[in-house]
This record gives sequence, C-alpha cells and structure tokens, in this order.
Amino acid sequence: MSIETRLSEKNSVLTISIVGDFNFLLLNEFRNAYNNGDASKAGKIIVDLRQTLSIDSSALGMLINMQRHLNKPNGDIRIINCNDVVRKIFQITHFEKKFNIE
Amino acid sequence: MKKILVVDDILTNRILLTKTLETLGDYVVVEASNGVEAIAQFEAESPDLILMDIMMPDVDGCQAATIIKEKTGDDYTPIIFVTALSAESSLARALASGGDDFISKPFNVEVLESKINAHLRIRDLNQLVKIKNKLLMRLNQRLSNEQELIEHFFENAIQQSFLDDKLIKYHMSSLSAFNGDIFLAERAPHGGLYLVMGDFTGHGLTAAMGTLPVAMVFFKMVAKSLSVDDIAREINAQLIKLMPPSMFFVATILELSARGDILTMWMGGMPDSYWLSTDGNLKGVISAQHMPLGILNDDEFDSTTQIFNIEKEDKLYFYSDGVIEAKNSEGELFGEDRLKNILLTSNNNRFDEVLNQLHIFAGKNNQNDDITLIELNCHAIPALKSGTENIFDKYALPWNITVTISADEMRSPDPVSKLSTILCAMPYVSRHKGVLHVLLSEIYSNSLDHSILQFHSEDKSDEEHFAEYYKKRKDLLLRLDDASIKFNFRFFVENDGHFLEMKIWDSGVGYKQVKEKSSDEVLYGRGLGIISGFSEKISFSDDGKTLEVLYRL
Repeated sequence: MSIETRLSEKNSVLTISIVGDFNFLLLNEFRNAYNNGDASKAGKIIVDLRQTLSIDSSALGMLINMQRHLNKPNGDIRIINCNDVVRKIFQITHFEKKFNIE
Repeated sequence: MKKILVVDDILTNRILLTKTLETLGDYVVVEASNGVEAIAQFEAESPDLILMDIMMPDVDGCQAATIIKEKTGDDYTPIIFVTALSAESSLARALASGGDDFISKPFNVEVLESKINAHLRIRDLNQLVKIKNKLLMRLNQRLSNEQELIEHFFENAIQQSFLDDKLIKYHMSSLSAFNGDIFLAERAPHGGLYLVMGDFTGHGLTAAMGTLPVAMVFFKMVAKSLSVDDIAREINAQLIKLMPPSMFFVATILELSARGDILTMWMGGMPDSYWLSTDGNLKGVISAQHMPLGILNDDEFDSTTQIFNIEKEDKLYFYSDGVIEAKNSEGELFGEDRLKNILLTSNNNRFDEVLNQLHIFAGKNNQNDDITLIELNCHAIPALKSGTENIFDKYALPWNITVTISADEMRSPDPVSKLSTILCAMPYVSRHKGVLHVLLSEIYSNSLDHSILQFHSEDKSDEEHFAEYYKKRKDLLLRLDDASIKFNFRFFVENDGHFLEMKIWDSGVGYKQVKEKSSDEVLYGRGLGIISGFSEKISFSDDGKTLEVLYRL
C-alpha cells in the first residue's frame, strides 16, 4: 500500500494515486501528498483509485480533510477510476454530493 | 560395385555380353534367360542397370520392361534394349514400354560402354537427389512442426483479448503466417477498456517476435488497472531490453473509461486516427505525439498522454500504415485523403466500406504490408464478471466459524486482512471478498475504537483531531491487555439465497449506536452507515454488546 503523486506538465493537475488498501495507515502519507506546494500550484486535483483495492471510513475522513484543507470549489477535486465496491461506498455515504466521482 | 542384369534367351548371347562387361569394368553380372526370370532377378538382385533382349518367348523384353519400371517407382533403374530389330516403329514401341535406351546387335563395345556409363551416372545423380529430397522433407517437416508450436504461443499470448463487437470492429491481415501487426483489447478490474495496436518493423516471424513481450506486459498491467502512460513506459522498457536496435514498434495504447466518456491515449509513430461523432461529423484528427516504442531509453522516454472527452457512440478509427500504403495496379497509393473521404461520406457502416473500397482499389495487386483497421465505438463498457459466478445450491451445507481476535493480534499489522482471508476461503464467499473486506474493516474498527478503546466519534471531528485520534489510538492499543473481539460467521440457505450471518461481540463497553448524521461535513459515524448499506439487515442485541449483520451472498 502506497501513494504516488504526479504533477502534470503545466503544473495544472496534481494526480494522487492510491495503491492497495486506502485506510488510516496511509494517513500521513496522504496528507503529505496534498499538503505541499504542488497542490496549491495545481488548479485541479485528481485522486486516482485505479489501483485501490478497498477504502474504509477513515479514508473517507481523510478525503473530507483534504477538501477542507485545500478549500477548492466543487468539481476541482475529481475522484476517478473507482471499482464497484468503492463506488458503492461513495454512494452510501453521499460523497457524490461533495466530490466529482467518476 | 555396380550390378548389371543381362537378359537374353540365347545362352551364347548372354555369355558374350557377360564376358564383354567383365572386360569393360568392375561389374557384378547376373543373368536371366527370359522375361519372367528377368522380373524375378530384378526383385532378388536389385541391379543398377539392365541389358534386355526384346525378342523372347512368352514375356518379351518390352513387357518385362513395363513390369520392372512399375516396380522401380521413383528409383531410376535404366533398361537398355540390346536388339537386332531395326524398324523404327519397333524401337519406338520398345522405348514407350519403359526402356531408356537401345543398342543394336551386333553391338559396338565402345558404344555399349559409353551408354552404360551415361545411364549409371544418371542413376547416381537420381539417387543423390533422392537422398537430398528426403533430407529436405525431414527439415520441412521439422520447420512446420516448429511453426505450429510457435503459432500456439502466439495464440495463447493473444487469445485472451476482450473483443466485444458492440465496442470494437477490427480487421487484420498479414503477409505471412505470423504477423508484425498486433491488436489487443482487455478490460481492467476498475472497469476501463484498454487497447494496444501497432506494427513492428519488418514482417513475418522476426516482426511477430516483438508481439509476445508486448502482449505479456499489456495483460499483466491491465489486470492491475495501471495507467496508459505506465503501460507505454513499461512496454518501451521491455522492447529496449529485448529487441535489436534496428527494430521498433509503432503503436497506440489507449484506455476508454468504464462509462465510455474519457479516452486516454499514447500514440507513437502511428498514422493519424480519426474521431467521428455518431452522425458522421469529424470531431478530430488525432496525431501521434511520440516516437515509436523501443527506440528511446527510459530516461529519454516521454509517456505523456492525450485525454479526450468522448460522447456516447462517438467512433474512433485506427489503422496501420499498410492501409494508406496499399497500392493499385498503377502503383498509386490508397492514401490518407481517400481513407478520410470514405469515412466522412459513408452513411453507415464506415468500417465495412473502408475495407470494401480498399479491396476494390488494391484489386489483384496483392497487399504489400500487414493491414490492420480498427473501429472503436465508444459507450459504457460491460462489467467484468467477477470470478466464477455462484450457482444457487438449495442443498449447500451450512457452516459456522468463530474467530477471536485478542489484544496481541490487535497490535499486529493487519488483523482484518487475515480475518477476511479466512472467511473467503469458505465456499460461496470468495466472490464477495471486496465487499466483505470493507464490512469487516468497519465492524472491526467500530468495536476496537468505540467499544474497547472507548473513543468517541466526536474526537475525529476536525483535521487536527483526526490525526491526533490515530496517534492516541496507537498508544492506547500498545497498553491494551486482556481484550477480545469475537466474530461468529454462519452460512445458511434460505428460500432462494445463500446468506452469511455475522455476530460480533467484544469485551468492551458495547456499541452506543451512534446516530447517523447525514451532513457530509461529519467525519465520524460513517462506519455503521457503510455496514448497513452493504448488508440486508443490521441490528444490536445483548444490550448493545453484540452487532448482528445479515449479508446476502
């Protein structure tokens, strides 16, 4: 389980990819991924869950924290490539209202 | 030593010939006094050459020659008639019956010698050719056996492709048994559809060799839902490692998102792709931004992708250079303009129309390159079937397992994963591993955090506290002794379904059923919501100390 970040060419998009299980064990790593210069430079944030096996409620808390911290308008944080289970978790918890989930 | 069969019904003639032959060279001479004997001697002695009289009683020389020639098959055993006949018609009949030459009686010794030598030379040559043929045949057989084996490799490497005809139309033709063109399609676990298509330099087996590592890397990385740029980079790295510098791979790698609305593409050295709306308007011409794969070292390699927002039923056309480089009988090229024109003017079924026009254009002028044409019809991608489907078994045996996690195990790295591994080893369960892992994680942290460690959800209510919470949790966990969480799983069949009942009891104070707050700003209390969202029913019993969850398998 790990986190990779990638800044697009023109610094416009910061992609944060989560590999493996997304839970509180990634707390600090996830915070460091957005709590730095790159995230403020980038206009948009993409959280790419293509390699994420599962998420739990602590991960949801971490996402909410990120949004509060960055204070970005709706739509500027996109969560992409969710598997079925992860998508259902977002549905159950009504995260779709707050995040742009694809 | 060469063996010569002398056939004559007159003894003196035979003696004369035999003696003459003995003076001419180192021959073994065998004799026969009539046609029947001649055939028998031929079979018994396998002579290298036959000197045959024509006029003999019963079976004459011509008849014997016909029978012997039938028996020799593709072995060349020369038959020279020694005859007093001089009528041309008789000689013609003799040669037609299977004889190879004739010499008149009385014979000239020098002529006899040179004819014998000439025919023996032909026989030697014939035998040499036969040996070489046999060798060639054996080699040929080995080659085609090997070819079959290699084809098997390629088939296995490429067969797994996901080719849903609603999404993909494709045509591939190749110059030889093996193809330097490659086209693979596969769905990833997160729902996206990946394609790789391309063309190796050269044709045939050498070109096809490169498709094996490409297929292996592609399927392996798609199974992990890795991104297009990662796949491009890895294929490049593999090809750099394996291929001679003169070979490279012109390719397009793309991912269509699960909903069919985002296209991510990496293109290296491929001809332009055309992007059309469903009513046939050109929405874009997508050009390659990169060099082909297998040229640049990893540190020079650029994996940047192009991303497009796609609408439903948009169509994308990809092709190898073989399409635009097809020639007609005048040597004129099919060309990009012609291709684009067909795509933009055809009303429907543009794919078939392109192939049709290409066929008419090239005519009998056989294609001189591998040709690949692909149409991607964008819409949502049918979901992967998750593993083996469960078949409902009314008489599935019920079972019951109990796992107790105590303080030491709670301190160990990941007790929940171990728990879900145990549970998912049971029949009918493994297919649900993803969901059950989530359920068990939530149930476990509810018990541990709220009941055993006695945190309050409010402790997590803002960002600083959130981090603090997990630090404090760690400390408390270290000092914890004599605690346990007991999971009881019961599998049973009821009416039309398989069910898993989970009862969770812990040594702590018991759950206080946290009132769900629906506001999205709330950082806590989501756990129970998730549990109930995935299950048929959740309830508390035993004065709030036992949580019961019913899950439908």
